[in-house]
Amino acid sequence: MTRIAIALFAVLAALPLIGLPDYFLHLGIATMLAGLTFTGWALMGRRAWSPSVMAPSSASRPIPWRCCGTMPGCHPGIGLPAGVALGMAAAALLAYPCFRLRVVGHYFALVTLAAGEIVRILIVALRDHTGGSLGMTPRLSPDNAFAAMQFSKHGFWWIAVMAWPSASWCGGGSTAACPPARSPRSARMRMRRPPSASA
Amino acid sequence: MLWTFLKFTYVGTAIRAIARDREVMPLMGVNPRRIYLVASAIGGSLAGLAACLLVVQLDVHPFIGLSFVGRSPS
Repeated sequence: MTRIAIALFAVLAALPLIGLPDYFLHLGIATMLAGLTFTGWALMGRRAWSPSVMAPSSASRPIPWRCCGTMPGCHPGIGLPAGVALGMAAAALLAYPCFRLRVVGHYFALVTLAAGEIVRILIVALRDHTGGSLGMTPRLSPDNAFAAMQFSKHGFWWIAVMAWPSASWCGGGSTAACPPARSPRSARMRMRRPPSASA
Repeated sequence: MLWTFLKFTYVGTAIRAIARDREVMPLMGVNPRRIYLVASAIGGSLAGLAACLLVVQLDVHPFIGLSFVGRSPS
C-alpha cells in the first residue's frame, strides 16, 4: 500500500513535465487544495468523532487569512503561517466549549455551520476592511513575484502535491486502510496494570 | 511533520488509538476531551493552510464558502 502511494505521488509530481495544458493543471490544483480542506474535515470527523462543516467552510472564508498577506509590508512567508495559526486557534476556540458542554456529533456540525455564518455576516458588515459583499482584490505587497507566490502553474502544482497527498496519507489514509482494532495495545499505548483480584 | 506527530508522539498515538476504540481509551488514562481538542486544532490548521493557498487561485468573497459546504458530507 505504501509503495502504491509513493508511486502515485511520483506520478502526480511528474505530471506537469509531460506538457499538460495550464487549464488541466489548474483543475488539479483546485481539486487537491479542496482535498486538503476536506482532509481537515475528515481528521475532525474520524479522529475527534465530531463531524463538522467548519473545516471546509473556514477554508472558504479566506478573507481573514488573506488580510495577513495583504497588510502593508506583510510578507506571504509570514502570512501563510499566520493563516495556519489562525485556523488552528479558531478551531480550538470553537471546539473547547463544545466538548466541555458535550456538544458533539451532528450538534457540533451545526455549531460550526453557525460559526461560519457569523463570520460571513461580520465580513459583510466590516466592508471598509474586507470589501463587503464585493470581496477582496489581493494586493501584492512584495515586489518579488516569487515571494508573492505568483508562480507558474507548475510551481503551484508541486505545492499542492506536497500539501494534500502527504497530509491525507499521514492523517487519514493510513488509518482508513487499517481494520479497526479493539485492543489499545495495537496502537502501542502504555496500559495501566489492573489491580489484582486479591487486593 | 504531521506523520511524525501522529506516529512518534504520545498525543499523536492517542489520536490514532482513540479513533479506533473510543470507549476503551479513557480507561487507558487518555483524556478524550484533550485529544478531541488537539484533533480539532489540527483539522483547523489544515483548513487554514488550504485557505491560504486557495486565495491565490480563486476569487475572495463572502459567499465562497457555499461551494465547499455543499460538497461536504455532513
